[in-house]
Amino acid sequence: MVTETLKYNAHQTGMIMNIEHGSVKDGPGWRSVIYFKGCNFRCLWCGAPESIEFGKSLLIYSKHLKFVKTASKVCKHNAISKKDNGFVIDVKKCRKCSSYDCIKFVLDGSMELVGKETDIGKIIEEIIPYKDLINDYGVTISGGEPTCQFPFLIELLRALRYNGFHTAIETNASSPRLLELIKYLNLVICDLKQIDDKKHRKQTGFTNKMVLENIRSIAEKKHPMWIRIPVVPGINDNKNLENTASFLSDINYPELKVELLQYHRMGISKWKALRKRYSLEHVIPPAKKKFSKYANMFAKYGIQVIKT
Amino acid sequence: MMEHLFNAKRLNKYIDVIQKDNKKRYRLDGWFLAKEIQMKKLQEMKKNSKKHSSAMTQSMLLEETVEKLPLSIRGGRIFAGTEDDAFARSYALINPSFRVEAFEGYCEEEAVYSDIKPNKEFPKSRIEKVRGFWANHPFSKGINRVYENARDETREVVYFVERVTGHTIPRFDDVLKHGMEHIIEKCKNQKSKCKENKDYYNAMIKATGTVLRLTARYKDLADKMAKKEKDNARKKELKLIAQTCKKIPRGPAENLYEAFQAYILCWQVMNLEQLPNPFAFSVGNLDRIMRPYYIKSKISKEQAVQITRHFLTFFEVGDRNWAISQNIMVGGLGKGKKDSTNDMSNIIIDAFRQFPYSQPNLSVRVHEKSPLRLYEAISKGMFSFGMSSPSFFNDRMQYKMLKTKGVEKEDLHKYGIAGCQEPLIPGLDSSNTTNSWLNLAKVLELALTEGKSLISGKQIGPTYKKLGITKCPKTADDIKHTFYRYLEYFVPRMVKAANACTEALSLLPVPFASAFMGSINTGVDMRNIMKRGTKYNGSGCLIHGLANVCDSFTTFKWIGKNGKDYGYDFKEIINAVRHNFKGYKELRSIILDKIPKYGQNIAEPDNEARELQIKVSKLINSQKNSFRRNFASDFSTPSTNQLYGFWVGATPDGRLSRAPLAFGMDPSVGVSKKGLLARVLSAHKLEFELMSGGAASSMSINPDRIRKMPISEQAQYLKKVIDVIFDFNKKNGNGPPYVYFNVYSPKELLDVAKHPERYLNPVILRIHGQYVDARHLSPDILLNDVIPKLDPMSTSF
Repeated sequence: MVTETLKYNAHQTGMIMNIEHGSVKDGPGWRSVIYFKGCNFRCLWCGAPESIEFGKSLLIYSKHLKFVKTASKVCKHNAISKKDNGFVIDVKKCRKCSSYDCIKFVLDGSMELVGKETDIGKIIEEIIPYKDLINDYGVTISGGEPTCQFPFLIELLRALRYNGFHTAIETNASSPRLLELIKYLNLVICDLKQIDDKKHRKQTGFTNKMVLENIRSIAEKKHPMWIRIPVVPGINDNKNLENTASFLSDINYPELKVELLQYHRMGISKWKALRKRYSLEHVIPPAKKKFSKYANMFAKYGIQVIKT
Repeated sequence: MMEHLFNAKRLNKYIDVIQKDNKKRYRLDGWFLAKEIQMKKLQEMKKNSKKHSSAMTQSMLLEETVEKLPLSIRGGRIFAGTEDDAFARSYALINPSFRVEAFEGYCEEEAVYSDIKPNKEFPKSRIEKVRGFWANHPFSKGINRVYENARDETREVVYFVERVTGHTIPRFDDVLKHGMEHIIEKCKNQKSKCKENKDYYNAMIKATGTVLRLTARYKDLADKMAKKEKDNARKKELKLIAQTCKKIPRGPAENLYEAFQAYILCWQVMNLEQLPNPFAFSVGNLDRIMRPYYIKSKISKEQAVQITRHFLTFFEVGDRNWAISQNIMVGGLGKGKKDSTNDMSNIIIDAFRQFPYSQPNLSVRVHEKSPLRLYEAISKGMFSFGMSSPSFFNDRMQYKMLKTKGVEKEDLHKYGIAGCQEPLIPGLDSSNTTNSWLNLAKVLELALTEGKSLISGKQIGPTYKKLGITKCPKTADDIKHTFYRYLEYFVPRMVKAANACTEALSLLPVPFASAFMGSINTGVDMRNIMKRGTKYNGSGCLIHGLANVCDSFTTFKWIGKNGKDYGYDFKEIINAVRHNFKGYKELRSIILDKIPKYGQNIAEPDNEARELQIKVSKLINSQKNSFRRNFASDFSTPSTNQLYGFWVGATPDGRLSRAPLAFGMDPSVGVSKKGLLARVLSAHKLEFELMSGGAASSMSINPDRIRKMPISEQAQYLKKVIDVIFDFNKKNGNGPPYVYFNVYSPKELLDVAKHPERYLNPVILRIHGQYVDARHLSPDILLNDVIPKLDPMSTSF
């Protein structure tokens, strides 16, 4: 550990949701994906709404919670009380106490706590066995929005590079400091959700000016980059995709790759569990045919499309 | 002549003819006829006052069988020879009519006679006469006595034992190279040199000579058929069969066709000697055996592929397409640690690709430097719907395991796989691989209940008092201690019963097979327990329930630490288990939700698995068999995890009563929530070197992803997957010895289960080492064993 601390600060802490191992989706080859907690965007279609809030989030999936019988006083703030055969929670009374004792006793996944503080040493310890198993094993930092915890992120990237991992980030590219990270990254995966700034603000709550600027700058540096576009029917498909293709073609970076992500509704239950309204209930995932049409359109602009 | 005659297109067409013919043959009466012929011969011999040794008697019975059994050369066949007369049609674990509840822990030797459905030719009285005769044979009586003695313990499968026929890898290389006359001559020479065993050499001379008689009969038949044949091309082929049978195996083979033909004829006699159902005779590295003859042949690669396909059809038995477990290997390290993959390896892989049937099984030996072209050859077929072949064997770990078993360094590179996954040295090793089967989960049940079965309520095991356990287990360590006391009680009983099976089997010497297992040098039969005819003799023990028991230990440990907070103690776990968790839903939820399990790369449960595996392996490996050699621990469960689970009550890992046990060395299905690589890392903590009998792991490959890749990319991906599982990226990696894959999505297989009639071609599934056609598989096994194992979270690459 002594030598490592010379190179990076293993004690630097940050807030993550979880680490998924052996993913083949978020970068080349096999990799672990570290999901940071907290995001500056508020995308209407977000499939992981539990990642938005900074700090821990409590997801309640069932009206009637299940706790072990000994947990008669699960919550010291009396937010949880017995009702019928189960328990109910009065969210107003929940103080988001640091211990979250209730989670220890909840059963059958009726409630879930997302978010944990960890340090870089622990993360490295967890993922290093995978590196021993696979020489070119990689790590993708995703979220939430990783750049929102910049000091933690940069230290983690240093640690990953020190340990020989292939590194990637999946970012909404809105950080003015994104370019500072490039030297630690083998691959940057930038989300580009909406090309029209007005609509971008409406759909994500944030301007896209920095996003486009970052994409241009990374392209200028000829740094490996994928652009990820979540295709949401009626929100950012058709014309937006055409304009996006045109924008990406103009930046003239032939190595650039585009990945079109199919809109899905798997996050809806989480929106409900977070007691938040999901405004796209009416949107239906696009047909496969339409999707390949979009892919062909990008190809016509001379842009490589990643098949997933 | 052969090269002109066998046009690749015509040979290809013939395969269809053979397949159609096979499908029509739903009666397999040959083995019964053989037993009847042998019965009559024995009765005749009894009248004759001259007494013969058991080996000579067996040779005479073989001679009589070869002389009298009806022969045929069916349409489309380019080789003379068949396996049909050695096997009964059903009588295997995973046939379509099998149901788990049917298992009785009892293998009555004469049960196979119920396989012959009475008809005009075979009236009930004829069947019963033969059954009755053999039931009185000392061998049958011996075996049945074993089951009587161990009835309570085998009925609820604390353990199971069987006599092992088949399950070896003979070496016919010398027959191919020098001819059978040379072998007979060798026997005669050895006989003249020795003072003892002269009678056994006589028996071997007679037994090996039977191949020449069988071949002569085939020659006459082929000649006769050729004369009558009107189709000119077929006439020429039949003449070639006749000419070839005149030449080999009497003399040496000079090309690939002759070598295959000689091999088939030897194999047929070997089967007839051990019928009925000599499962799992295996070939070893066919590429190494056949390459010299391919080189000598003036044939194209495509012709070689088609001739090899015809060789493979020999291993198909009538319309039965399940579980004979005949294994053929290619690749791997040769002498001097050099890769031995050759052009014949590719021809064999190609032949299998064009031959998607359930028999025989293809296995590939790999090591860290296996060439990419080997993976490319495999990738051409493996990922197509209905294939899922071959199996993969890790040379590095197999060598270590064989060393543990006592195999000498010079023999390691020769190893082959017999049956499903058991490593043996061809021609030197009679290892009795499936001799005993141990159910750790049942032992745990009896340890928790003072010997009383949770299934039947019967007192199956001893009480604590009888075992000298003075206090009821109160801590996790007490529980473990009690478990091991029960294990130490049952294992010697299992070994005794297993050895009694081996001893009974020794009453039936096998001089023909022994001649190709080293007995020409020793003059002693391979089944002779007193003198040992082969260089290596072991006995296998297939161990069930590793994950269930180690996760149960973790439950006790966790409850010991955290139980107070949750209001539970040991007593309640045991009560919950007694009541199959009825009234203990909450406790079961805690066990399933909160307590970590083996297979997620978490230190505590993984260490429990490792500790249990090491202790059990050492205990088994120290047991002595009838040959005074060691047993070999084998963590594989060829669907018996389901069968044995049916006889185990609920277990403290949250498994419900009668539910399947975990497969082989794998974690319980559904617990690996941290992904497949975490599962691989957990497995790498086990001590494979001690699993000297083998180990099995089941995985799957997501078909949607891999089928989109070009072959070169598929090959690279496959190599990467193998390197990861077998831990080839580390210098001294500790990967498992064996893995197989099913390349299906659960959706695809559910459709096969629902609408088998929609699938015109075989849908080959991997169940342990066996290859089965999903269309004809027991629905119990398909729905409850195979499909759950396709769980994408924990098993699919």
